[in-house]
Formats: sequence, C-alpha cells, structure tokens
Amino acid sequence: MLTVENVDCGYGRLQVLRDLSMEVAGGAVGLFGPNGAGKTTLINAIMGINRVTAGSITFEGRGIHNRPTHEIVHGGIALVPQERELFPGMTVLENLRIGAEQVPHARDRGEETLETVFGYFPILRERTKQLAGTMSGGQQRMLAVGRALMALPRLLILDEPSLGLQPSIVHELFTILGEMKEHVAVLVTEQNVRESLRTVDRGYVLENGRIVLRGTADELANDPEVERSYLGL
Amino acid sequence: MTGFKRLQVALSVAAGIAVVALFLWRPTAVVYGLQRAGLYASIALPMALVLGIVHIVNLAHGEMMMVAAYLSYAAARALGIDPLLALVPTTIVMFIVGIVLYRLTISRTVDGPELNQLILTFGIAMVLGQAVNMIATSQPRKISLDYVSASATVGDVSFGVYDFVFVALAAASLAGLYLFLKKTRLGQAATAVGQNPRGARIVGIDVQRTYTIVFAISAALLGIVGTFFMTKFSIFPTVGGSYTMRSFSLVAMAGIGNLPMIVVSSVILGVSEAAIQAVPHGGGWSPLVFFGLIILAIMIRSFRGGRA
Repeated sequence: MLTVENVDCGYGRLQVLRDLSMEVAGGAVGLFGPNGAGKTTLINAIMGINRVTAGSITFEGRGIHNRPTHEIVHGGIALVPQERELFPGMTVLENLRIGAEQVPHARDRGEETLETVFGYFPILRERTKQLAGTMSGGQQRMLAVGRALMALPRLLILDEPSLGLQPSIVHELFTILGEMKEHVAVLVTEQNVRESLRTVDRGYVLENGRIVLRGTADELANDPEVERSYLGL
Repeated sequence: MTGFKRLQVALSVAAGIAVVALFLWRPTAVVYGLQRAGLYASIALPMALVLGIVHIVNLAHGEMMMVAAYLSYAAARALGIDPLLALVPTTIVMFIVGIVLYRLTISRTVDGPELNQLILTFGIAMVLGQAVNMIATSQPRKISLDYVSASATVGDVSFGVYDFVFVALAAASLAGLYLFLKKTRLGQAATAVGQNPRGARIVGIDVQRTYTIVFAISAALLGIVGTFFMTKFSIFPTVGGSYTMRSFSLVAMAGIGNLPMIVVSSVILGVSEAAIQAVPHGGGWSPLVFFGLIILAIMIRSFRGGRA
C-alpha cells in the first residue's frame, strides 16, 4: 500500500533520515523511537511537507514524494499531526465538515462519514456547536482524528496521538484505533510503546534516522532491546 | 452574547444615535458623512478580506486602487467612452494583476515573518506610484461627467446624489464577500487558511491557490472602486496612499476578520469627519478626528486584554 524506499530527508544541511525503507501493507503499523529519531520527519516526508532528497515513496503504486500535501490528501492519505492543527475559530461541526468538503471523493459522502465519526467519538456529537479552540486536549485530539477520517482516507497517519493526554484517554484512543484499523490502514508514531503494541500489528523502531528493528507486535514485545529501552522492565 | 458582541452592538447603537442627533442639527452633514463612509468602506472591505481573513499585509492597497483608476481613465480617454464602460475590463485586468503580484512577489513572504511582507508591499507601493508618475506625470487628471453632479432636494436640504454609488458599492461588496466566505468552497478554504495554514493543507486545501485567488479578488474589487473613484475625484499618482492608511485603521477598528464592523467603523469615521466639517472653520480638524478615533479604538482593544 505505502512503500518508502531508500529515502533521504532533512532540513537544509541537516540530514535526518538516511536511506530509510519501510512499508505499510494494511492493518496498523507502529513507528517507535526516542525524541529526535526522525519519526515526525518521516511522516512529514510522506505527507509532502518535507522534501525528499533521494529515494521514493509510493502509495497504491503511484509515486507521491515531493507532491503538494493537498494532492496527497486527495489521493487517500490523511494526517493527524502532533500539534493537531485544528481551526480554533470554527465549531467542532465546521472542523469536521471542512475535512470532507475540500476532498473531492469525500465531499458527497460527508453526512454519512459524519455519523461514522460520531460513532467512534460520541463526545463530538455533544459538542458540535463548541469552538474547537475551547476544548480540552483530549477532545481536540479526538476532533483531529475525526477531521482526518472525514477525508475518507485509505491510510490514516497519526503522529504521537498520546502526547500530553492522561493515561485513561490514551487507553480509550488506542481502543478506538483498534476498531478503526479494520476499515482503514493506520500508521502511528508513538513513544508510548506499551499502549500501542496492544493495537498495532507490525512495528518499526527508528533511531538516529535509521530503522534499527522491525517485526510483528509480538516479536517487538518480546525483544530484549525493546523491553529494556521502551518498556522499562 | 459575548462581551465583545455586546460592545459591537453598543457601538453600533451609539453610532446610530449620533447620526440621528447630527441629522437634526445639520442634515447635509449626515448625507455627506454617509457618502464618505461608503467610499471608506468600499476601499477598506477588500483589505479586510486579505488582511482580516487570510492575513496578508498589503501596503500597496491604495496604490492598486490608484492604478485601477488610471486604467479606467486611460481606457476612457483612448476609446472616447464613458469611464464606467471601462469597469468590466479594468476589473478583469486588476484580477490578473492580483494573480501576477501574488505569484511573483507576495507568495515568497507568506511563510516568513510579517515584516518581510510589510517591506515588500511598501516597495510595491513605491514602484506602482513612481511607474504611474513616469508614464502619466503627476498632473491631476479628471474627466468631467454630467451625471456626477446630479443633485436632489429633500425639504429644504439639497445634496449631490452620485456619491451614493459608494454606499451601494460598499453594501454590494459586503454582501458579496459574506456570501463568498460562507457559501462557497473557496471561501471556506480562505477562512481555514486564515485560521491555520498548516491545518488547511492537511485537509486537502491548495493553500497557495487559495491565497492567490483571494488576493486577486481583492485586486478586482479595487478595480471596481478605482473606476468609480476616478469618475468623482481627480486622480494623481499619490492619491491612493492615504486610503491605504485609512483602510488599515478601519480594519484595526473593526477587529481583524470582522467584515460587518468595517461598515460600522466607516460610518463612525465618515459621519464624525463630516460633523467636524459642518462646524464653521472645522475642516482643518477632520484629520484629528480620524487619528483620535484610531487611538481610542486601539486603547479600548488593549484594555480588553487583546482578546478581540
């Protein structure tokens, strides 16, 4: 589905990703690693936000690297960024509607998708008229996920969805992601490895811009290196 | 109702009462004040769109209107037609000018600090002003038109009626912009880009295209205003500059992104200037009213904690 091959990427003279290859074939894939490992850089390269200087990224057989972000979104990939990037002066409903309205294939099915999103996040239905900027962090995160789903993506990317959320909400969010992955492929970057290993099928560990470990969720959970570095045992 | 909404309603009501009181004292001052308000609002509304909605600072705003006025003037002189017939071609040309200006210059500043935009558009203003100065010289130009001096008498008050076109223009611009922002996909995209450009691109909005078209719409509106402006007033290369400043101040008074308040602010400004001029020897004081109101508006805003 999504294939990243031998990608180099960075900011100016600072090279962050070196000869990086990974793929998402379906289900849920985790991308783990410490701060500064290059997780967000990779996500932004996939989304066309960062420039790829070597290698290729293909989605459903089409090369998407260095394409404008809006084209990539129209092509079926949606992002829930770390900073959420909601429209603070719009209501919850307006934020959701605009998620479908600007994407040609999602536009006509907007009302239908809205019901799906409310099914995942009932709290959003209660808050439709509230301004997005006035909601709590956890609710904003749910709204950002909902807005991304409105674009009817075939691949949903979440960048550190648990960041700044209390454990019970993180748990709830990953439970919902577990339901979602039956319908849409999910790529999620996380520092909360324990929680996300419950949900993902496969995972990659990224360090200093390179993939140092890859495998199924079980393999990663039982890997002594992962246990020591990320599960704190 | 939020505190800010209440303040807006209070201001609008106060402005209304002041207008009625002035009408009882000097009816003509009200008529001229409203006409002036129409002119101010029709020039400020395109700026409210680019500054208030998508946050582009354009110091060449008045100069762009001046260029539009000269375009219509040149078309009318060259072809021997009524300047108002030049309205459509001038508007189209200005739309294209807007696209070119944005793509060539302003697009390079939208990701940088706002100061870059300020300096860039200040430079554009100078280039436009001096280019017109070189081509058309600084001599004031005016085409005299019979219908511009039409007047009406109501009771014992008589006044020019042509200037009401600016009131109509302001009303039409406001209605048009409102429908554009609320009802069209591009208008929604513009609002989204203004609130969060990074958020806009990840919901599938072509951010650069949105900026381009919004800027071009503003330029096209200035094409319309400029054409009407030159039917009424003499034009010269520096005629636009003061309107940049006025438009800026009106947008600041109205609150960023608040289009209807532009009209209220324009009425307050236009009518108070006309009121001062109605006082014998008061004409010279009208700039004081203008700056006084700006200082007042900024003070009220800062006392309110900058929430608006």
